[in-house]
Amino acid sequence: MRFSLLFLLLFLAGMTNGQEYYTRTAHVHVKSDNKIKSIEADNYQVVAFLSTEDGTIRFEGLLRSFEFRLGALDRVYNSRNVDVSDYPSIRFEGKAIDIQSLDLTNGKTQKLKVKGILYIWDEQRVTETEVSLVSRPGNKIDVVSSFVMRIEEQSVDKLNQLMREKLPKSINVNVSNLGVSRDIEIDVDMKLSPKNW
Amino acid sequence: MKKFIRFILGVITVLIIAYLIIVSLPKAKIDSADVDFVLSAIELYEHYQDDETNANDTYLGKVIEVQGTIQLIETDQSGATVLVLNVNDGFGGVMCTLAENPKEELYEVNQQVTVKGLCAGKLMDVVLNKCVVVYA
Repeated sequence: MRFSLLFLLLFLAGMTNGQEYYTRTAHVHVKSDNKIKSIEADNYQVVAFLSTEDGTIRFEGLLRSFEFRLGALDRVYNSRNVDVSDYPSIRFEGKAIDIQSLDLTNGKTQKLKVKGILYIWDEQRVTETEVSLVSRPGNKIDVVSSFVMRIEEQSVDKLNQLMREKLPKSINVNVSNLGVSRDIEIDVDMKLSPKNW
Repeated sequence: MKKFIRFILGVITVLIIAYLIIVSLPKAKIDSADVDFVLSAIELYEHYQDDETNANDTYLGKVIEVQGTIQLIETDQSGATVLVLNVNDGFGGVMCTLAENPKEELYEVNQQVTVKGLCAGKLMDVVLNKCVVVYA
């Protein structure tokens, strides 16, 4: 009897420690400041996975699913003229460095370090951040993280080149005189449930 | 001099009005948009499964009307109702996020619906945004 109980407890502990969690409705919020008005957009259809066994954490959201808070920008973005077919999504693939310390039994907030690669447009950026995890009733986990992505010098040059090509020559603007910040703030909020397939 | 001041004030007024119009413009809607493609949820999903690049070239950013059976009803973090239409796959489906929540619970699992939405591509599911239910 004692052996059976011990076996059952070990089995349940194994299930809790080695489970995969997912959601198809995670939220990613991006914000970029400039001199006129901050540009903010939300994507509520982000697919996210977390393995509590090996610490793998990944999320992917479609660029077309971003909804700009400024109505005028949202209208332009959702017009047929905007083509995102070459790079239709933004994605992150990483691992929690200290997943062994994760304890899902007590419901308190825990912090883990995550290192991975953020794929956005034709850029790949090594990203290191801290995530907060909270276990909820029903074997669910909330994961929240915020990090900043800095636009590199060569990408700024690419943007300036694009503006020179697309705008009339008389309009002499570039990223720096528009006051566009090179830092993009990214917030991720995942409400994960056990993966059951 | 007075004329010049009036001109400057006029320009500033126009700029303020233009700014207020731009800031207060509502977000994109597709209620009255023409439909580019009419097909079943299964046909749309299978096209993406067979050739995602070709499907993106065909459907991305287009208004699509799909018919299907509700497999799952969720609420996303903005509070919007999400209908996942069954495609007999067991893994993915066609995910339709409604632009406006129904005032009462109008939808249930296994119900047949026709939904119009803007195609955003495929992740686990084929994603349609800013959806309106045209038939339930």
